[in-house]
Amino acid sequence: MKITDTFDVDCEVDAVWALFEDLPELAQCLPGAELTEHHDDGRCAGQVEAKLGPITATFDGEATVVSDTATRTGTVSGKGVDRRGGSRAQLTVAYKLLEIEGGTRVTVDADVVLSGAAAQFGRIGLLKEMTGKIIGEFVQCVEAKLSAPTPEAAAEVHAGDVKGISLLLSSMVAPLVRLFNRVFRRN
Amino acid sequence: MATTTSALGGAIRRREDPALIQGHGRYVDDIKLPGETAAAFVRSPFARAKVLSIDASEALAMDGVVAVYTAADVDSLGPLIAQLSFAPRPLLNGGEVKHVGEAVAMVVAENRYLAQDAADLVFVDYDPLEAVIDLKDAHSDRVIIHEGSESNTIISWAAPFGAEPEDQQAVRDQIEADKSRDDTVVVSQEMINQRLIPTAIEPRRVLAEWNPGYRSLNVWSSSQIPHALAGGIAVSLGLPTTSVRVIAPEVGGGFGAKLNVYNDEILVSWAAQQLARPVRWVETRREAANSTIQGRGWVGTATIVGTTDGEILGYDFDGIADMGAYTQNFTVAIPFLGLFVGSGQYKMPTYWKIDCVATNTTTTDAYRGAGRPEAVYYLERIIDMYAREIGMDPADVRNKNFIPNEAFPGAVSPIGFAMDTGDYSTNLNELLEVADYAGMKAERDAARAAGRHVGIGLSSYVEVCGFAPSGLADLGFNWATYGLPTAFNGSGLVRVNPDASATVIIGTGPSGQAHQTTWAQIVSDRLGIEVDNIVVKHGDTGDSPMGIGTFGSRSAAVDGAAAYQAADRVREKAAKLAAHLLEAAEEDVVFADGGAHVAGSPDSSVGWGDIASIAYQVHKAPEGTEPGLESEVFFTPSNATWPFGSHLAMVEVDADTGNVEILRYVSMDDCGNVINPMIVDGQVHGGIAQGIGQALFEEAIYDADGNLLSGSMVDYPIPTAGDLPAFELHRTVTPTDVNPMGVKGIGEAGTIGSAQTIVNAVVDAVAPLGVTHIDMPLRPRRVWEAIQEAR
Repeated sequence: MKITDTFDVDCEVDAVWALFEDLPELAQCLPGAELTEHHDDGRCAGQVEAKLGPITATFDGEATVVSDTATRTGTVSGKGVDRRGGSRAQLTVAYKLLEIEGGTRVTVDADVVLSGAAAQFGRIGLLKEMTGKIIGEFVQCVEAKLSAPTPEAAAEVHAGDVKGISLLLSSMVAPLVRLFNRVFRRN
Repeated sequence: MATTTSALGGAIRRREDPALIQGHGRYVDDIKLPGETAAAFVRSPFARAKVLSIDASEALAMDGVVAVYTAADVDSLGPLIAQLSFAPRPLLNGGEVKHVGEAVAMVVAENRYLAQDAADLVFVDYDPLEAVIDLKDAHSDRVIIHEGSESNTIISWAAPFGAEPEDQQAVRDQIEADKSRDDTVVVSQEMINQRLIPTAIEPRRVLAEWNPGYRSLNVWSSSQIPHALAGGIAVSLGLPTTSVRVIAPEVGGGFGAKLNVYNDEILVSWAAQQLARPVRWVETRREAANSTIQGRGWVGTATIVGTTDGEILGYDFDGIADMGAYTQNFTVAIPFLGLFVGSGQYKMPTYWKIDCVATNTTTTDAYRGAGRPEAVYYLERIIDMYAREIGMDPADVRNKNFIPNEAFPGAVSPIGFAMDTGDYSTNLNELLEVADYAGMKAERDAARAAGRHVGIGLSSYVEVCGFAPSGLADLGFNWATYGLPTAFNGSGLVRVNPDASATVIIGTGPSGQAHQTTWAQIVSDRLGIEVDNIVVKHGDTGDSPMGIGTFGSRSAAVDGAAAYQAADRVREKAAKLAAHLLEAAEEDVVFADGGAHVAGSPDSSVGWGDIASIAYQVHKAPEGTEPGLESEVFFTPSNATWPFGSHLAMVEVDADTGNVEILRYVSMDDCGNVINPMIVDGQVHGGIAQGIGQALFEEAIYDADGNLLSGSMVDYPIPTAGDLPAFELHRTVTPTDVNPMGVKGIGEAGTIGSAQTIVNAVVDAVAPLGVTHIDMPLRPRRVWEAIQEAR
C-alpha cells in the first residue's frame, strides 16, 4: 500500500533536519516505535507496535536510514516480523524537507507491504486514516521537542503511546465526520 | 413377479434428522481415541516466496510438543498427485511457496492449544517474490508461476468438443460473418463470475490411528470421498490399500470442498504412523478459507449474434478460469464441466473456449455446480441482454431457440454432447403459467409507474450430472493416481438378514443429502420391506463396496441405480425361494407388506423371515440353492444425465441505497423421476440459497499481494433465512433413460439456476435508469454505484 502525505512543522528547517538525523530522538516521536539499537552507518533495530482493528502486532525488525543533508532527503527501508501473530511488514519511506515561510514542509512517500494475519484481518483499509493520526502526533511531538527550553526537557518529550483503540476510533470517526459534512453541506 | 408396494415418490421424512437435530449425530470430533495428539500447520503468509530456512528450535523446546516436521521429513512420500494434475502439490513446501496459507511445517503436540502456540514459534525466513494475483495478468504470462512451464495457461478447453481446431474456428468465423448481416444485432459483455469460498457448517477435520501390530491405519475424515482418500493415503504411505480404512461418519456439508485428497489428510496419517499415536487435526475457519479449495473465478466475454426477431444465430464465449496455485482432484476439469453445458439447452451454433490459468492464490476446484453455474451464468445473462436489445420478452427468446422435443432421443448439443432426454418448452411454459408471469409483469409495471424499481428475472438451464459413463475415465475422470483403477461406477450391496430386515451398504455417503432415507426407499420399493426395517450403511471403506463418492449430483443416479439393481437380484432369488414355500410358480410371486404372496391370493403369504430362513439354511431350499440372500452390483450408466429447469424471480431495488430485496422466487426444475419429493425440495432450497449467495453476497477478495481479505465469516457474508423469501418450488418430470429409476440428479440444480435469475431481475429493475450489467456480488454499494454511473 502506498501512502503519500505532506505536513508542516512550525519550526525552522535546519532544526527539523537535525532532529531527523538524530535517530533515537526521532524514534521517540513515532507512536508505538521503540529503538533498541542504532549504528553510525544508518542501520538500526527496534520494535513497532500497531493495532490494526482486531489485530495487535508487535513488529521486531531492522531498518536502514540513508540521508543526504545537502538535499534534505532520506530513505528508510526496513522489515519486521510479528512473531506471535505471524504477521510480516516491509516498509520503505522516502522523506524530503522543504523550507517554507514560518517553518518546514515534510513530504513522506511510504510503501507498506503487510502479510499474514495483519494483512488479512487488520483493517488495512483504515491504515490511511490511521496515518493521519500518527502524523498528527508526530508533528506535535517534533514541535514540542524543538521548542523545549533545554535538551533534557526535549528528551522527555514522547509521542503519546500508541493507543490502538483510540487510533481506531479516531480513524473511524474521521470518515463519519466527512460523511456528515457531505450530507449536510449538500442541502 | 410384480411389486405392489412403491416407496418411490413418497415424501417420507428424513430418517437421519432425529439424530442430527438432537445432537446425537456422530461426527469426526465425536470420536475420541486414547493417547491422542493434535496437529497444527505453519502456513505461508506470502503468496509467493522462497523458503530460506525454518527454525523450529523454540517450538521443540516447548513442553508438550511431540514433533515438528518440515519438507525434508516428508520428501520420501513425494508430492500429492491427483488425476489431471499439472502442478503436483508438495505435502510441505520447502522450496517456493505459491499461495498464502500453503503449509511449510506441521507441529504435533499433546493438545490443540499447545500445537497452535508451538506453530506460532516456528520461525520461517522467506524471501518474498513477485506474486501474480490478477487473473488477466497471469494469463498474459508476464510472470511465469511454475518454474519450467512455458505458460500460466495449464490447459484450454474448446468446443465444439472433439472437433479439429480449424472446424472450431469455422464456427467462430460464421458467427463473425453473421454480425455484418442487415437483420442482426450483436450483444457482447465481459462479465466476472467471482471466486467463492465453500462454507460447510462443519469445517474439515481428520483423525488417524496407526496400529503397529496389525500394520493398519484407521482414518476418520470429514470427506465426501472416503474410498479415494483411502487410496491416496495408501499410495503416499506405500501401504496396501487393504491396510488403510477410511471412515467418513456424519459429514456436516461438503459442497465439493471435501471432494479432495488433502495434504493434511496424508500428513496426519503419516505422523500417526511415525509416532504410533493417534493424531487429530481440526481446520480453523481461516484455514478453510486459505488452504481448502475455493470455487468459481472466471472472467469471460459472452457474445450473441441474433436476428431482430429473436433467432440466435451464434453464441461465442471466450473466457479464462482461475485455477489458483496448484491442480487438485478436478481443478482443470471444472471449466470442462462448464463446457459440457456451454450452449445450454439451445440449438444455436456455439464457439466456446476457456483457458485454465494458474495464479498465486488458493487452488480452485469443485464448488456446488462446478463449472456449470459459471457457464450457464454467461449464457443466460447474455440471452437476457439480447432480448432487451431487440425488445422481445426474454421467455419468448428462450422458447424460440430451445432444442426442440423432436430432437430427442438422440439430441446432440451444439457443444457436441449427446443428451439423454429433454422437454424445455413445456418446462418453461409451466413455470410461466404457475407463477402467473403475465400478472407479475403487470405488477412490475404498476410498481414502476408508482416510482418503484421492481424487476423480473428469468433463466433456464441445463446441467449435466450422474457421472460417470465408463468412457469418461479416458478423459481423466478416474482416480488411477490413488490406486483406484476404475471408472466412476456406482455400487451397492443389498442383503436381506435372517430376521427379515435388510441392510444396504453403499460406496457413497451423505453430507446432507439424506442417503439413509433415499436408499431405504429404493430398496423398500424393490423388496416390499418397510423403510423402517432397512438400515443403510455408508462411509466406511472397511465394509462398503468400492464407491466414488457423493458429488456432482451423482449418488442417486449412479449408486442409487446400483442398489436398485442389487435389490432386484435379491428379489429374483427370493422369488424362487418364495415360490418353493408357496408351492407356486415363480412368475406368480408378488412382493408386498414385508413378504411375498401369490398374485390374487394375498391371504396365502410368506414373510421375508421365512424366505431368509431357507436362504440361510439351504437344506430346506430347492436343490442347488446357494446360501445367503444378498447381492452386490456395480453400475455404469450409458450416458451422463442432463437435468434442466427454469427459474423466475421478482426483486425490488432501493435506488437510494442499492439494497436488493427478493420479492418472489419460483422454480420449475426437472430432475426426472423423484424418489422423495421432500428431499428434492430440500436440495433445491439449499441450492437456490447458495446461488443467491453468489448473486448478492459472497466474494473471495484478494489484495494485490495475494492476501485474502475475506477470510473470516465477518468479511464473507453468506445468506441466511432472513435474506431469502419463501421459495415456490415446482417440477416437471422427464425421466432419463440411462438408469433404471429414471432419476437425473438434483443436488446442484438450484445453484445452477439461480445466480443469473437474480442478476437478470436486478438489471431489469434498474434498466430504466440506464444500467445494463452489474458484476456479482450485487451488494448495495455495487448496485448504488452502477445506478450513479448510469445516471
